[in-house]
Amino acid sequence: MNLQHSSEQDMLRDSLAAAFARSDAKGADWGPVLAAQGALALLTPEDLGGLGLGMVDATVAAVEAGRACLDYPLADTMLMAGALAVASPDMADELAEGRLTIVAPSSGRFGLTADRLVGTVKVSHPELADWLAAPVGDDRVALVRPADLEIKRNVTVDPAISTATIRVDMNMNLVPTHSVELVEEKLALLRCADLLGAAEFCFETGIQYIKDRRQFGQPIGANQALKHMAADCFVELENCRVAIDYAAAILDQAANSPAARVLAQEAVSVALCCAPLAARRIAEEAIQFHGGIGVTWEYPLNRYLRRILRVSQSMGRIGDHQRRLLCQVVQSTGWQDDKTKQARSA
Amino acid sequence: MDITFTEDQERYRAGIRTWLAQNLPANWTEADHWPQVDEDAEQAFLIDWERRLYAAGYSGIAWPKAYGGQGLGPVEDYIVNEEIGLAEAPESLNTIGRELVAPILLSVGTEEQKLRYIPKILQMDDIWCQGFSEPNAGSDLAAIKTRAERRGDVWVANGQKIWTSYAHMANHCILLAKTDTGARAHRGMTLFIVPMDTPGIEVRGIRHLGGQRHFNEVFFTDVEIRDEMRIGEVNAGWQVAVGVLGFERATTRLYRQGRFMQELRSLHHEAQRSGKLTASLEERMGAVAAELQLLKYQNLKFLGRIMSGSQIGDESSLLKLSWSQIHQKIAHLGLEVLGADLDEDSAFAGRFRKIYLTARGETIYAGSSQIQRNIIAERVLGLPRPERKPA
Repeated sequence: MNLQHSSEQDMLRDSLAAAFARSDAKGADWGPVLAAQGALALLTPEDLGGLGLGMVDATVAAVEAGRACLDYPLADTMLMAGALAVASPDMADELAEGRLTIVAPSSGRFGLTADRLVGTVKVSHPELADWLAAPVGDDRVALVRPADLEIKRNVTVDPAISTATIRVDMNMNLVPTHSVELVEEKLALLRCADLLGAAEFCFETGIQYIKDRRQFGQPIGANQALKHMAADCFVELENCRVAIDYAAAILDQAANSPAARVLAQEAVSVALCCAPLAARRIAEEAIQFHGGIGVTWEYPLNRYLRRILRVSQSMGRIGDHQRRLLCQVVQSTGWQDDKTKQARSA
Repeated sequence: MDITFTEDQERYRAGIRTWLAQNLPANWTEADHWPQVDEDAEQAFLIDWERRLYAAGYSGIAWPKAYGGQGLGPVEDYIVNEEIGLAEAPESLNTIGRELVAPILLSVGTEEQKLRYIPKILQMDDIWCQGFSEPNAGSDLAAIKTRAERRGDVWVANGQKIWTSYAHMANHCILLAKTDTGARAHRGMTLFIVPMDTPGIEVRGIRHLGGQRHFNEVFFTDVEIRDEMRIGEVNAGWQVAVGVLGFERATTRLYRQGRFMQELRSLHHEAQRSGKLTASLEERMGAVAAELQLLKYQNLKFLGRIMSGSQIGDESSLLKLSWSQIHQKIAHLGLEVLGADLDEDSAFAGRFRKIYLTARGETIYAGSSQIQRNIIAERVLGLPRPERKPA
């Protein structure tokens, strides 16, 4: 039992943070920068030139992307690169060098019939996407070129990153599909990790501010009202961290058994119940800590709050996650329904 | 990162699970939660239960064999506590002995004290109470007035303690007393072992809002304590108690997560049975289910840190803050599911009436939620203490 990151995972975090701080890349230019860090090949098998790592490592990278407010679909490209490298070695080289960018739907789903792929999805970063990789059916991903599709730009809440609605109705023969185990759960978890990174930035910025800002002759952080808000945010942040780490660790084991698969889905539900609300609250409280400067356009909290809203939008209704989780935990083996109850009455 | 238990650990879990299934009286839950129980009978039942648990090897899991423990590790301790929670088996009458006294003795007690007192906690021959809080020293524990003055080989204690759980059934008290009245706050306090039959001790019961006897006032008048009953160094009582409390907060309430999850399951079952399960109620129950799972993950994270030899300190306040608040949310859901049936003469209604009322104390004792938030803010996040004197 160990829910701590390894020293290699800490190094991955630090080297990505340093790369984000050093580079002034924008949009598609991030591809080669991230490729140089190995970040795009984290989940690609070693024999295909990747690092062959797992979801714990992938979430470490996604947290840093959120923390840096990165304007590039790192999570989508990283997750899909692994599957596509297996299917197409040519693509593997381009992916490893950061010359291909992949987006996955932020909401919506394509339906797959015998001869057609039909449906409407929303995506972020449509202008960067060489490919749209969309989950269809169980553990399958359909790969289509956005350039060939009907794209409608949306009114984005996050000015740093555009969003669009994409409609598909095309002959299935044109669409290659690939297998990615638990692909929707993995995508959702990487988005939770992005939220965690954004929340970390807001939390640290807010705590530093209430230590420094003085009113009535003392730092405002000496006031118990703010301390208690800060403590509650700390608990939410720690809950977010452990939810993501636990779900990532169990996703890495999920291929081993159907039972582990069920537990992985449950753990992702927990992360989905927790991360969007926690990140939003932490950003809101950080803004409250800052007073007037917190509600300006220029101050960075603005960008982070908007990122949190955009990413959370992709996660669906929280109430649905809550009901699904309730179902999962009520059905999971408890004492009441357990075989041991028979032993007890015997 | 590794979130699995080893095969040996899973086997160990299967063992306690089977033992509980075979040994827990089938009607225990209803008996416990029925509003009018005979307190003496309940006490006798609980003592017998804990003795059987110990005889089966499921008590004192991580304590050394030399003092009657099982000599196993924190993982086995976690597993046993989690299974006890999931089985909704009785909670210990001797939590002060188990969660406070034994860990303090293991940390700073003399060899004689360890040999003499720890086995008796496990055998339930000694039941302990905690003489810390006073009428004017609750959250502000450093303000205690109870004094112990040294006269040769004995200390003479005078003062009043309050909110002393189990004092009416305990035969020993762990007493925190001022031994240097000139010292600054938190210094100048010492811990003592005091047998409750020592002349000069008077216990007066206080009935809890939940209806149980539960806690007491304890008066000390010229109570003589031999110096060999002192725990740790003179004037270092606070440091000893706080050091142990941080660790204990992280390790000893693990069973609550499993117990609370069973309460939520039973609420869901009742809401479904009575046709009161709306989509909105399902969402709110699901939100609590998520918080319970998060509490479990936090417990496992702390467990992993303990196994890797990390020090556990003030950050464990998040566990106390979380479990006490989650339990109150479950209690509120209970009231909602009961609705107009709050006064029904049924096992379910009796159980959730008691859970609701008892849970009100949980955000107060063992450091109130506000104290836990102060600890997190000041000692974990490094926020400053007030510079201004309140007007």
